[in-house]
Amino acid sequence: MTRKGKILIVEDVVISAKFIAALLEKHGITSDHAETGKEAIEKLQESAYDLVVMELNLSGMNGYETAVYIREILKNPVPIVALTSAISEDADQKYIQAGMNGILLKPVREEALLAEISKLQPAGKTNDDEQFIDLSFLEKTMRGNKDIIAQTMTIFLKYLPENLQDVVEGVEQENFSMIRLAAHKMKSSVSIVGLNKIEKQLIEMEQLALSELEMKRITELKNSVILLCDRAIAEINELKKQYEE
Amino acid sequence: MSFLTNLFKTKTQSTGIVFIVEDNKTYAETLKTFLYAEVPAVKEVKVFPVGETCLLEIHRNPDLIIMDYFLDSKYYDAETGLEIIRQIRAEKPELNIVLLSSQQEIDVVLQATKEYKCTYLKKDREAFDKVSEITREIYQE
Repeated sequence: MTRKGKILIVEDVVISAKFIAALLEKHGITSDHAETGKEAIEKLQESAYDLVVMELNLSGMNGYETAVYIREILKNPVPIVALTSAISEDADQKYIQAGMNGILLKPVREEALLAEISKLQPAGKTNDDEQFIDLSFLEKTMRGNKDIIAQTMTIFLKYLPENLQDVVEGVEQENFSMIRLAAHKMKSSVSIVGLNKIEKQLIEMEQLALSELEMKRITELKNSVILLCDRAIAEINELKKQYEE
Repeated sequence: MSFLTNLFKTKTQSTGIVFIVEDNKTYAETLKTFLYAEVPAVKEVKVFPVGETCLLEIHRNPDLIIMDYFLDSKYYDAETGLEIIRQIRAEKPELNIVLLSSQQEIDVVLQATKEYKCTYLKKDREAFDKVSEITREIYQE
């Protein structure tokens, strides 16, 4: 991580949070502060951070529960370093089980904090060059059972026109609420058969509709989704034949 | 086990019935097909597009209910999955319920897991495998 990184300090003792923030600032590292696990989750939903420093003994949702939420629900891989007043064998196991990456003893020593930061690696590049249909998820989930995979494709093809019609109607009526719901539902459907490109466009559409923004962009996305669905129907019909053989 | 997972009750007298409350037909029918193939002890999977119709059949004592959160894509006045769970809990406190949703709002997840003792599963690529694990646990397979 560069010194431009941003750290989220989750600590209900304000003086302790300010102390850590001051240590970081000395090294040109900016930070945000959340007093509760819930506030931390909300901040992570709004902004990207390079590291989370988390007190374990938070009131309400404790640090372990917050870490589990970040990993299992937000699916956010941000490194999390636990903060504790006493390191015990039990705490040592629990923070790892909760998906945290390191542990620091309070009061935090400057060199220990910097050592944790230096372990962080910049995030890898994402791969935009993906297949139009990626059946790996379906293959894995259905244990390679050709019959079940073919049945799933039949189900998908049966309900796709209805899913798409809901999206089109929402856009034609310029009804953000309808668009959001329809895009949300269709997103789950296309993800089953690994139509990743369509899924991404529906995610963008859902987010724009939620913010009630950019009907022009939503219309563009709708037109693109229609074209991609035509291609998807043709290709899935072909693939289905292979699974039915 | 994390706080997102509540213990499942193994049924001594199982009905073999699983309810799926989900308004996305593709997702619901795929999950139904998957459960029949995956867990032989499941004898009947019934899909409800809204929670209100599920409540009408709750007396059939399903071994598991898999509930989506947003159920209003077709019927705009349909209750959310969480409200349906609240009504089920008033009648059947012991029933196994999974809230399977893309809904990530923290208050919804905490209410479902802590107050209503459901298990929360995010509707993602691991969801089918996790549903399989849970269903097998209930039937002790």
